[in-house]
Amino acid sequence: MNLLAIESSTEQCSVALRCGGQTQQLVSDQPRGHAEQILPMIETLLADSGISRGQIDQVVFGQGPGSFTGVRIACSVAQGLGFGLDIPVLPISSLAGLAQAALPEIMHTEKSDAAPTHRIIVAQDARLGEIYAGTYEFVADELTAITTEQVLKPANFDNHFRLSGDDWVAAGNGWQVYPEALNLVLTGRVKQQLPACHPDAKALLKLATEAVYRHRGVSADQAQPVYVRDQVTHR
Amino acid sequence: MNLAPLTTLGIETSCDETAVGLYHRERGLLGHRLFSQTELHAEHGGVVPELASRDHVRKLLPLVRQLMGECAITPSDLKGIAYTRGPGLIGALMVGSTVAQTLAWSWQIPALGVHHLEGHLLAPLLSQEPAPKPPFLSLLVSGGHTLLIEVPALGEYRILGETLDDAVGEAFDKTAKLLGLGYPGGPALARVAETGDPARFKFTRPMINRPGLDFSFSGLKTQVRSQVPADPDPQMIADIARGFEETVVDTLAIKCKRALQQTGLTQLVVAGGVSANRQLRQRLTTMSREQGWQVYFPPLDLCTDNGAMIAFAGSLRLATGESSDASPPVARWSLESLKPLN
Repeated sequence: MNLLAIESSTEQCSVALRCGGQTQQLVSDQPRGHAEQILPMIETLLADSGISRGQIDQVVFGQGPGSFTGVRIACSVAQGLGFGLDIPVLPISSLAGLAQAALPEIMHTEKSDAAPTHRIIVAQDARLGEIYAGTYEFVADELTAITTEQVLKPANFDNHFRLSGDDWVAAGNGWQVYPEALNLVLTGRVKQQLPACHPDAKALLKLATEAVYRHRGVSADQAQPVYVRDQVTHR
Repeated sequence: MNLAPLTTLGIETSCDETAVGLYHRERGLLGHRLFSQTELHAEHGGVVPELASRDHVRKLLPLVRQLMGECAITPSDLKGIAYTRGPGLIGALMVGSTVAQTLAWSWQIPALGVHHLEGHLLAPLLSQEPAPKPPFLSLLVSGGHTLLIEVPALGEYRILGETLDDAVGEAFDKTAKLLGLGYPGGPALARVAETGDPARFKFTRPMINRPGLDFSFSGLKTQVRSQVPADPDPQMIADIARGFEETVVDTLAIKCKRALQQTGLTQLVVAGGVSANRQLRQRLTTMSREQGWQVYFPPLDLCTDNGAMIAFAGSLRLATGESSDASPPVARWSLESLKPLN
């Protein structure tokens, strides 16, 4: 099974290919021009792995939330590949991708031999004084969403999520953009902050393993962004 | 037998229409499909770019699938994919260009970015028998553009005049709004005007007493506003609409005549959404007959934004050997900078 993943919901854009049990990823830090970079990055990964475009079995993309244009670019590429190569498409939350990308950075404090449980708050800058936020849990390294994704003001975070416990890991650039507001509402409950973590394509591939078998993806036409912020006009 | 594929898929997402077309170099236009977002934007009184982009990403691929199915075209029949690269709303263009480039990459065929206005001004060549041949004068009138263009050869464009403020279609829509005809009300205004008295309201025809071929329509809207009472009756609305339409049509006809006389050209090719306007068609047809000129209009379904014109312009360019171009979409793009098509 050869899986290709695309994530471009932030200023960073990445493409990853899992092929024969090996995963390779290319990342671009140029905040603009994601659309022009993705196809050449895919070509490089295919050439390095020695497979052709026709051998891609499924395409995974970060469906957002994030930059509207960035999310649409990943979605449009996934649609084009899905229809063009006649393969299923698997949309995965970019916030879940961020939580997954944060996992290797989490400090291990538990002494037990069993895989520890981690709980993560993800907060990405959504502009206009708001964040995209969600909460996730890793049990035995497998990610599940605790809550649905929201767009909200940092000050309303606790009203909405009502977090209990003092062992949360905080990930995402929301902590760079709104540090005071978030620290104030979450005081005493966060054990570690990972503000520099980005969602990336490699993380989407990790999440795709189980999801592929469970959902088998969707057809290219059904692959759509999830913006979360649906109020985009002032009426 | 290995026949070279001759069909071009065209994709148009520059504003508020999601549109696709298939053009065959020998058999002509195979078909085109369009999804108009007009209703989506109507309640906002104008096109909301983010809503337009969101709708393109929902509608484009189903339209491509539907059209290819209806025309029984498979990827192996395609010579290339043409998409609107600009000018237009950048986020909207991005959807069409990204899908087009990825499809083309998947099918290993060229993807070519086409100029939206070249698509429009070549649309009358798509189905006319006999088709106009350059050199000709083109009048391009739509919600976003008002241009007089000299076309010495296909792909070679010289802008002789353009609007200094509102585009003609924009003037129609804004005036319709003033008259309480909704948004976008241009076509509704033209319908109401049919029952109006052309002699009751006379508006100044903008810029006709000045030399040159530029247009200005924002002052006309202000003239209309000053004539609309607080509670106009339906006949008054019809009369004002007729007076407005007459003024616009007069102005366009005068400038076309002036441009044809200045350039010595004898063919006039009209394109863009406003080229569907019946009064404009009648006036330019009468004028051309009197002067011994030829006038050409696109079929009514190819006046507004459509995918057929993009497929056609792309097909012409692919036939001259132009190939893939991965350059990003552009909000602004000079028509005069295009490569000649010979």
